[in-house]
Amino acid sequence: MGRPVLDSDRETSAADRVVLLLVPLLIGSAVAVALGVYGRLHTPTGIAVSVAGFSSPQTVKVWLASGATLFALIQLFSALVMYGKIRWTSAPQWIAAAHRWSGRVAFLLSIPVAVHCLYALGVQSYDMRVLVHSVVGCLFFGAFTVKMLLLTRRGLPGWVLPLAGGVVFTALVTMWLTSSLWFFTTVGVQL
Amino acid sequence: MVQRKPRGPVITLFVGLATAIVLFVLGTNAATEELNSRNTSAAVAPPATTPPAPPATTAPAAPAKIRIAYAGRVDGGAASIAIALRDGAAIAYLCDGRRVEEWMIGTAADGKLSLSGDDAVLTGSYDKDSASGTVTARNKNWTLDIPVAKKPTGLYRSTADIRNARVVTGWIVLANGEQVGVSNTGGKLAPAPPLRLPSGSATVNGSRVTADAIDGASGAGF
Repeated sequence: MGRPVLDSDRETSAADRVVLLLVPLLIGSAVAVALGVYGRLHTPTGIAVSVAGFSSPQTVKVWLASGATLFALIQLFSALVMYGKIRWTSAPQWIAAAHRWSGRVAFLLSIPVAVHCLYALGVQSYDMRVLVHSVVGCLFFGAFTVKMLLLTRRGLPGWVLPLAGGVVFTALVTMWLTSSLWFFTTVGVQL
Repeated sequence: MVQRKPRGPVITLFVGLATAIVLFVLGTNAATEELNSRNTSAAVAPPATTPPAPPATTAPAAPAKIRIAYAGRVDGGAASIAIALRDGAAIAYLCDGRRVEEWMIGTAADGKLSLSGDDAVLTGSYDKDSASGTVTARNKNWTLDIPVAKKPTGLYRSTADIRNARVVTGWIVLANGEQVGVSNTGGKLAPAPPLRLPSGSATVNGSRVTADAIDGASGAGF
């Protein structure tokens, strides 16, 4: 899983590389489109499971999303260390594991938020914030799917994983900016 | 492709998918229960809301029993408007979903509409199919010709006290399902949150509110 990509792995033809990239991209696109179509077509219920200790489902989502974003920052940092962009006195052994697990936690934290968003609110377009949030939200899960599937591929060009990871990170941060930050600044920081 | 393919990322995806399905099912059950309990409680105690604006004091002496609502965009599409009629009284709401909203109140008699609000005037005519006329708000004129609204299309309004502030939210639900609305907190306008239909609930500034359908039939708002 955390094995470095070997040069022998890269000995694939251009056509192979296209297929390697294309299949994950198509599956990820299908995920994003399916989420968007569902969010647009079904009638939002406005109701979801509440979590004890929070004042409303909205605050639950705000904090889950903030948690996911925090782990996403760990993602960015650990990725930069792994790629040697941040000079750490010999990158620690556990940095790859930290990257994998922070990603898993971030992803899992984002799931309840997404389920509530799609199920209770749907894809909406009544203002720019909401439109951006709706579209990027669908893209995020598509991009995450692409990233995960790419990880299972050997022989990818070196720029692919950083690009995919960067897209996922940017999407998640955009999600946070258009929801949690908006909530903190308009409603206030509250549990 | 001689090497063993890593499985971890795929497992991650499927764990996420399974979590989503579980939450989705839980959410479905919660929604069903909440809708059921809300329906029963609504039957016992009607929701307490305050009527909008000042009541119509100039209702004609022998008002016709016309209870109907209209909704649509003004010509040009810059704003939407909904008009509800009940026994000679009329309520209208003009809104662009962002910066402009005007509640108007007045009369509907003999096919003629005459309404006014804080900074708006609407004159026009109505019949069983549509309402048309001119609305002037904030020194702008719009013409309108809007069709009859059948639920859930129409006008909705909620009034709530949230964190010591009176918040009045109006929504116009158009025939295509689009919602145009504004929340007014002491004169400060913000786009209205999504109105969840058919329950009529919404989350305004983090608090849950219930909106009344102002359609003339129920009498809510009149």
